[in-house]
Amino acid sequence: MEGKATLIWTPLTTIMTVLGVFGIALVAYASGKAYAITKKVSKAGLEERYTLEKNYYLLSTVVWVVLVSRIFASGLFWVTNESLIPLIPGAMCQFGVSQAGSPYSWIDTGVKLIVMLAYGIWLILDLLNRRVKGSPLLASLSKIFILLIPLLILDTILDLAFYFTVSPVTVPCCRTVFTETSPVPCPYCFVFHDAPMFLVVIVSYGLAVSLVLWGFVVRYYTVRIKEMEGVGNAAMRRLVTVALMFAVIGTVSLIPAILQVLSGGPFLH
Amino acid sequence: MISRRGLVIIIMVAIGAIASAVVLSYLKGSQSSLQEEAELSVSGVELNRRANTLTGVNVTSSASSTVAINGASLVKIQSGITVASKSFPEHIQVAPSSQIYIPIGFSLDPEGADYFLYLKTDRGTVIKFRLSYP
Repeated sequence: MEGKATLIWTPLTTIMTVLGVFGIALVAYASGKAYAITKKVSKAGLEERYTLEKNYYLLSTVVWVVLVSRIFASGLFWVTNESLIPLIPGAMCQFGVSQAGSPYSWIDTGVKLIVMLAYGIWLILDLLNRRVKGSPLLASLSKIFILLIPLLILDTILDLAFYFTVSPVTVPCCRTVFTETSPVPCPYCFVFHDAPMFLVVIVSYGLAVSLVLWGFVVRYYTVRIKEMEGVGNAAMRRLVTVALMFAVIGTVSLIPAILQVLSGGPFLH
Repeated sequence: MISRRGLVIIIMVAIGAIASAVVLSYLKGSQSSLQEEAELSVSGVELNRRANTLTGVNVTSSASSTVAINGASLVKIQSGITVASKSFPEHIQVAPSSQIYIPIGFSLDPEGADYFLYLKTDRGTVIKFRLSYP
């Protein structure tokens, strides 16, 4: 990589940076509250538990804002990187953009693939907790949020590090790695440029698998907490039904996706 | 309830993953199985860089008989996908030991990519040419 390093500021990188700073600030605020609730809830009497529940509702609202904004950022990440391709000399696809923001970009890409799955667990459980009298998941949700803090910090810090590092330097793109002898194609060129229907397949299958895993987490708590039984069983049924719907969408989309790839030439395919 | 439907979902995702892998290996296989033409080659290309188009190619023949070219395909190496193709209804005849210009008109990725241009001959072979753009 060579060239003069100046940061790239576009509306999308600015939004990503703002979301990162916003996320860090809210995580810092919410982590203290979550820690306090976790520490006090096991020894709390009736009155103190009521106060903790009130505190938890505030925490819950903040965490919803944080997690939803991070899920939004994880989607926007791909759109932002796609928009940076023309601004980085040598970049032909998001591989080149990641090269320009290396090493943060590569770790960030990996993190972005799992955040939806992780954040979704907390969001689903909190939705159920709100429907059951007495907030039976109050302690568990506070603990899960504390467990999510390292991931949230990593997610936001990597975004900030990446977008503060990425600069219009000349980069070697995927053509240096994915040649005619490569067993697999460049995933960015394949999915984002030449076979975009596969994007629908990947997103649908990803959501289907996530919903199934969230269903298992809901079952874990439904079995252990009696008050959760009715709400939990209904939620599991809904989650699996929606998961099945996404799996069907993914499988149905696979047909035009494959046809799109195979319909290229009269004699090659 | 969850386990049976969950299993169906996992089976569907697995089928999708396997089907995608089969398609990818088929794409690779279909290109490597093409027999390359030994007596004809692409000796030059004409590009329109403003319009990001492969306008045409010059084909040089060292064959002792006339060879007809009946189609062209452009494969993007990075994705392995045929991004453009056309057939020539009136086959282009390449006379023995001669050079001919063949109009192509394929769009190229303005961000850049490597391509294989394949020209199919009536001998059942292909003239293969590697093109890097821009």
